[in-house]
Amino acid sequence: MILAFDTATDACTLALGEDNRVLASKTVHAPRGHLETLLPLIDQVLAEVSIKIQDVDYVASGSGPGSFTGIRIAVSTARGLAQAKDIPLVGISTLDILAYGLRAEDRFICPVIDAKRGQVYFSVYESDGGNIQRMGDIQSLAPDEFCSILKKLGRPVMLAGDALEAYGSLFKERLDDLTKFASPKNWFPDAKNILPLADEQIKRGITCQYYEIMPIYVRVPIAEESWQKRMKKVASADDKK
Amino acid sequence: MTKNEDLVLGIETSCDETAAAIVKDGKEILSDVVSSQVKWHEKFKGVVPEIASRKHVEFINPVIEEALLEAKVGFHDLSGIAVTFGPGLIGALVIGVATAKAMAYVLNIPLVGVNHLEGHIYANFLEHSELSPPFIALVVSGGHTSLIYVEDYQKYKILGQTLDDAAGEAFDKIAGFLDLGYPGGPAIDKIAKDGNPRAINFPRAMMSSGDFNFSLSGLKTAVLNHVSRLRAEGKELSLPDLAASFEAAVVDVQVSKTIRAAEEEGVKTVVLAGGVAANTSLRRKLAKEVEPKGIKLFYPSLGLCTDNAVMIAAAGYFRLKTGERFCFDAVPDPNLSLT
Repeated sequence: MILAFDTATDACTLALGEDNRVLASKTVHAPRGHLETLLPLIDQVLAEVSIKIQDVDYVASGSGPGSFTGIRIAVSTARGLAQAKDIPLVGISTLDILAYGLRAEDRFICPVIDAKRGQVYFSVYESDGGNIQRMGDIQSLAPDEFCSILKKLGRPVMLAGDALEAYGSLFKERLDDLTKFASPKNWFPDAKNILPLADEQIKRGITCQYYEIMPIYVRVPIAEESWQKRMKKVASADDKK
Repeated sequence: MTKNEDLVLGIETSCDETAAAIVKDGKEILSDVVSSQVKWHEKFKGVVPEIASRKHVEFINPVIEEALLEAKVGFHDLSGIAVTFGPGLIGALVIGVATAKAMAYVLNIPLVGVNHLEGHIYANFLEHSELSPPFIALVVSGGHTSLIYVEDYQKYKILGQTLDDAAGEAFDKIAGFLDLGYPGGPAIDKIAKDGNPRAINFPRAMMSSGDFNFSLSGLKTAVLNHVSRLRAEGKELSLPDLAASFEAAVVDVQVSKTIRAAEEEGVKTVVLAGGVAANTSLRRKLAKEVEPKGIKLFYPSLGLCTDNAVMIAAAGYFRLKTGERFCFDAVPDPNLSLT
């Protein structure tokens, strides 16, 4: 039995599954409220199907990218559950979860998550209708740069993700007819889509110990960014001397 | 070890130390594991909240594992979990609280939230069995400078606190400015030992303010101005004298207000707590001043002054005894008050 959840965006989403069946699932809108929402939601969903946390064999956590605090809440909760229960963990990228939800919709899918501070997280996926394959690294770029990359791709792509709330009109303006928007119900991750992805990893033996999964941040902390810029400036000033 | 009613796991992630500990019956330390993040914050000369949060996620679980191993107990021997839920850095507190909630849920054992400042005060109960309220506690650390009247167990009255910088924060900033290293407290303490505390007469801010509050921003500016002036005049700067004089200005106000608080509240015991309680001149000066007044002074050993989870487990044990519980929908409070 797999307990799966993701809190990288405003959605606190949770699902319980076994043998390719979804036993229970629930998604609530909880902007900045994941810490107070997640554990009571786990308890509530398990109780609804009369399953105890002791019966869970694997924990699968969405690991981002997304809100730094959000992904840390899911990952810390997953690590804590797995360590105290002594069970393995699976970490699934939040972009994978979004892309998987659209696997039957289009061949090329690009989940795009608002990274705040004027950037978006994204990656392009290719789907054969049943499985998805990420085509490149996860990137964090300004919406403009994101649009240029998609245009260069020159393929019909389906977009989904909470960045469409913030930048939807900009994307419409900058991108051509090749780009389609998924329906808004697919803009937030649904933990039901974690279950098959986690199952696949479990079958391939790619599970983690409680201390092995980490959030996918993509971006370094702002302080580190500024420090690196400062060091570059110092280095170039030294070169001029 | 067989199931013991009173084995509490303490978890502390309020600032830049990731810590876990197992304490038996609220007083016997079975393990005390602290993973310091100093090396990641050093180049910034201060704690970077986002880096602290990232490191907590990475280290909290191995630190808990080590605490269990060191105590030679398993998760199923635990009778409760105590976690710091404020005051502190919100993103950092979140990691400890999320971890503690998940573990308490799986193990089906009670969870309690502990105020970080109460934890610091409890470090004294752990080491001094003769200590009992009422007393005055001066809690000084990187994030706090508070004068607290401890009327009874778990009953506090905040007499005063810093209006701007915490003591440890001021030490970090001055040490950073003078390139003495990070963290600033131990760096200044060390170099000040060879200096003359009366060499420079820095302002004793709020000394006669009539209340129990503190302010360190003026002193910080005075130190910076003094150094700039000497440099502009091409005069030699004695770092030991400067450090000792700065430290004396901080310590004088703290000692004077602590003693006045004890006299006004009519108590005969004073307790030092928090990371800055490790400062040599604060300990020495306070000890010297309380003695003729017949006031007893307590402070923790060095390892229990700085942030640790032993103090959280100890304070949590007593909170658990009173039936207090932290609900699964509870969240940390970065500005949590003791009262």
